[in-house]
Formats: sequence, C-alpha cells, structure tokens
Amino acid sequence: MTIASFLAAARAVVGKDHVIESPDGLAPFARIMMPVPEAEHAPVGVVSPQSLAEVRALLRLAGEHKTPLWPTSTGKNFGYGTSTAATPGQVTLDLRRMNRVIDIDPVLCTALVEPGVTYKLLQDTIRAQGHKLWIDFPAPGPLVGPVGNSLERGNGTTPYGDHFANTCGFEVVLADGTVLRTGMGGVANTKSWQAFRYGYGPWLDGIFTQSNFGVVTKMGLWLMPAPPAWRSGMAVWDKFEDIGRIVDTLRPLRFDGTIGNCGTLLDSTLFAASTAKRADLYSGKGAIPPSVTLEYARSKGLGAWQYAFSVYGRPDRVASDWKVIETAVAASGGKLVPDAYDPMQVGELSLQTFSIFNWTGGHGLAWFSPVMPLRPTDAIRQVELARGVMDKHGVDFMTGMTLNGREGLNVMPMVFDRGDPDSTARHRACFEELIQAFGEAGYGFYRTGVGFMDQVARVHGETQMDVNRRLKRALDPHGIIAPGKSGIHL
Amino acid sequence: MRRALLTLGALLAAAPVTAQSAGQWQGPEQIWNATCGYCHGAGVAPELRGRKLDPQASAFIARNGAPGMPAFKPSEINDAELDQLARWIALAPIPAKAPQPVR
Repeated sequence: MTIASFLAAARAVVGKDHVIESPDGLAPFARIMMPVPEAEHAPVGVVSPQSLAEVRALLRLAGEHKTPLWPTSTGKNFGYGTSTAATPGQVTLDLRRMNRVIDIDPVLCTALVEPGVTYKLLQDTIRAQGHKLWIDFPAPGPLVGPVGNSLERGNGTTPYGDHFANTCGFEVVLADGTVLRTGMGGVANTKSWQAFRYGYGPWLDGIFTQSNFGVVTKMGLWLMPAPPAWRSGMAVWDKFEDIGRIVDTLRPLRFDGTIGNCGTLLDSTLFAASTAKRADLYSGKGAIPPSVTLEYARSKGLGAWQYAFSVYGRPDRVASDWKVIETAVAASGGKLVPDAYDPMQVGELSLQTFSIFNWTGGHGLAWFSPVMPLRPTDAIRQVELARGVMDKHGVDFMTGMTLNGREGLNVMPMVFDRGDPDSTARHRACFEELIQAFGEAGYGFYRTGVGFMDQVARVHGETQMDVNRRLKRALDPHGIIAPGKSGIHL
Repeated sequence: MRRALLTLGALLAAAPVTAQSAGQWQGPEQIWNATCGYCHGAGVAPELRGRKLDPQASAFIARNGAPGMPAFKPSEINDAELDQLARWIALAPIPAKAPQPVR
C-alpha cells in the first residue's frame, strides 16, 4: 500500500482533476509561514472532494491504504500552519470545493454551511436574500470560512467573537465512514439542529474542535441580528505600566455587558507594525525598543496601549454605554478617541490586519497565543515574560489581546523574513522558549500551529494527552485522520 | 394571491449568489472584488491594476504565494480562471482614487 495507490484510487472517486501529486502542483499546499521547515509539514498529495459521499469514500480508501489525511476547509490558517500538516507524509483533504450554504434561517438567525464556504460567500448570500444579519469574522475574513475557523476555536471582534461558542450542530464523518450529526441533529427530521447546541446525553461537539477525531462536513452557526445602532471607539493609555490598570478598568465593563464585543488591546509596537515599515523607525540591532514605537504612536495621537471596542444596541443604550465607558477610561488615566473605525467590529470584511507583513517584508508569521487571566498581576507578568524571552532572541514583542470577561487571548504576532535562515531559526528557538517559559509560569494556550503542537500539548499535561490518545484509538484506530493534530497521536 | 406571494417569496429567497470556488466564478472582476481587492489597492498590498503586469508572472505568484501573500489553490481558482484574472489585471486601468471609508 502506497500513497500512489491511494491517490490512484482517489481519482476514481473525485475525478482526475481533483487529485494533485506533482511537485509543482503540491508547492502551493506546502507553503508555510511558521518558522519551521516546509519539508517537515508538506503534504505528499491533495484530494479535493465535493460531497459528503466523496468524503466517506475517501476515508474508506484511506483506511484501506493506510494513508493519513489532513483535512482543511479553506486551507489558509495564516501563521498557524496554513494548510500544512503536523507531520510529513500526509495527503491534504481539501474541502474548499464543498461550498454550499445549505440554509439560512432569518427567524432564528442561524446558518448551516459546508467547510468550503467563505465568510465572503456567506455574507453575499445573506445580503442577497435581504436579511439584516451580521457575521463575526476572524482577521483573514474574506479568504477563510466559518467551519475551519470555528473548529480551530478562532476569535473575532463582535459580540459573537467566540466562534466555537456560536456554532450549533456539526455533521462529522468518522474514520470508518459513520456520519454523526451532533446535538439535535440525530432526531429524525430534526427541527432544532441549529437552535439548541447540547442535544441529549454527552455533548460531543467540543471533541471535534482542535482535534483529529473526525472530518466535519457541515456546521451550524448563529448569526447576529444587525443592531439598530452602534458606535466604535478607541481608548488610549500612554504608558506601558498602565496595563494593570487597563485590565481592571475593562474587565467590569465586559462582565456587565457595557462593552459588548471582544475588543482588541494593541500595544504601540503592533500599532507601528500595522501602519509603518520597521526600517523606517529603527535601524539598530536586536528587538525594536518599546520607546521607539511609543514615540511613533504618540506622533499619531495614540499611546503605549490602545483598545478598539464597540457598543451596540438601541440608540439610547449606545449613548448611555458610551458615557459609562468615557467616565471609566478617564478615571483610569486614559483618553477616548471617538469613532475610530474597525470594519470587522461592525460586520464588514477586511484584511487590514495583514498590513503587519509590511513591517519586515518576507512571509514569516507565527502567532504565540497564551491565555491571559484578566488580573493585573497576570497581564503584567505575561508582558514581562514575553518581552524578556523575545529580547533575548532579538524578536520584536508586540501583542493584540482579545479581551473577554475572565481572560484575554494574548495573541502575539511574530513577523519575520522566512527568506533569512538566521531570522527563521531565531524565531523558532524563541517560540519554543516562550512555550516553555509560559508553561512553567502556569499559563496554557488558546491555539497553536504546526511545529509546536506536541510541545504545547505537553504543557497541558500527560493525562490530557493520554485521554485524547484513548479517544483517538477508539474513533480512528488506524490513525487516518490528521495524525499529530494538537499533539494527538495513536 | 396567497400562492402568488409564496412564489414571489421563493424567488426572492433564491436570489442568485454566485458560488465562489474553482469553476464557479462569474469572471475576473468578481474574483478581484471578492479576493485580491481586499489587499491590493486597499492599503495592505500594492495596487496591481494599471501596471501592465506580465500575466504569466501574476498567475504564478497568485498560485504559489509571495512574501506577505498566501498561495491560492486550484480548488479556489482553477488554471483557466487564474489565467483570465491575470490578463484582466494586466489590462485593467488605473483605478480612480478610492473613496474614503465611511466613519
């Protein structure tokens, strides 16, 4: 049994035009932004099915031919591995052609979509049908889709920003071809698959996220009724040491719903990286000093920290919430820049986040993404810890924290030139040391990319790894689906 | 009358939206607006229109990626569509200055 024999059999299932094995054809699927070698993650083939029946047939063939399949939805996942696999020798199961918007329910404000549906397609479909419904987007919104991002438990910036929390019902194909509809989806002629998440008995959806226990072929999601009014703004604090006070100011506003969305707290270096070129600000050695980006931010009317947020609802509520925020920010020593506009926070697609590629040039990008409890001590500790490790490796510290009530996703982009082997090696070593340092300090992770999955899994403990392995052996005894995903091996 | 309303409702519900995967695009301009235009000419990446760029080079870069740009795969845009898109980019005029975003 070889990969070639699997791919030959797969051709009979999906058609010869939807199987790729030539080196030129595979090159786009091997492209990676992480600071790890392409060869360790490149696929050896690609199959692109168009239907549930084809996915089932491919899984059956993969079982017979002992060929591991790495499922991707739209295959972007910038800075977390793009469409590459955790281990070498896998065939990409590219689900981009499965792009049906199966249902939009304007009454319950739900949708049911396939993995290849992009946010752009879903938004176009909703608008063409005349519905006043918003979708929450992750940063690469137009190019990617709800299934892949929600399965990775990605985040956006509206009140529906926790994407997995706003899914409702999966259709999953298991390695043996079983088709499982989770939640209320098991009821014959179900009327509530996208209305109620939990179904009856154990709620299984979570085990199919960040995992390799099945291939999700349909997903329900909740859409946000467009609010009658909204107002966006940016709160600015001048000094880096304000971080503790910022967390104490924003946490209660998130808890009581005054700030309704997953706003983002950016430091001055991420602001600089999003709007300037590094070489124009700094030509010295090592990581860019924070004083340099602070000076740049001040020249633009901003400071060490800026928090982009929005308030939503009836006009009277928006006005009243705005006043509460204005008072709280002023009391903490910050200032409010009114009506600063982030399209993603109000349901508009954008790729502006990726301006950060212009910081250094080169296509290296990796997100270091620990979870930050929203206590001042932890916020201060995480910034100090990350900055310390990064300084040592000559890596620019920058962060964009998505703030929820109890925690923030402290997402730190590392932007570097992958064409420079020395820079790539430094960023890899830095990433590994950061995982270790954060783990030793008692912190865990929201998400990670290929190349670092085993290390992050170890931080989360041997027992979790063992239980995940037992589930893997029960559901996929031949290890066909995405070996190595999230550190889960047979 | 009720039947007529229902029929109208069904027609509205079925308002056509072009699917957006390989082989389903309506033409290069739709691909540009749904994909390329979010970066190129939007302040994220350089404007490509109006520069008479070599279509073969543009197609190769879109397929394989470039620094700061992802690779677009055959399941998103097939070879024929990519070729058409690259030729459209080469011939497209320099766009008028983009309107400022509504604040």
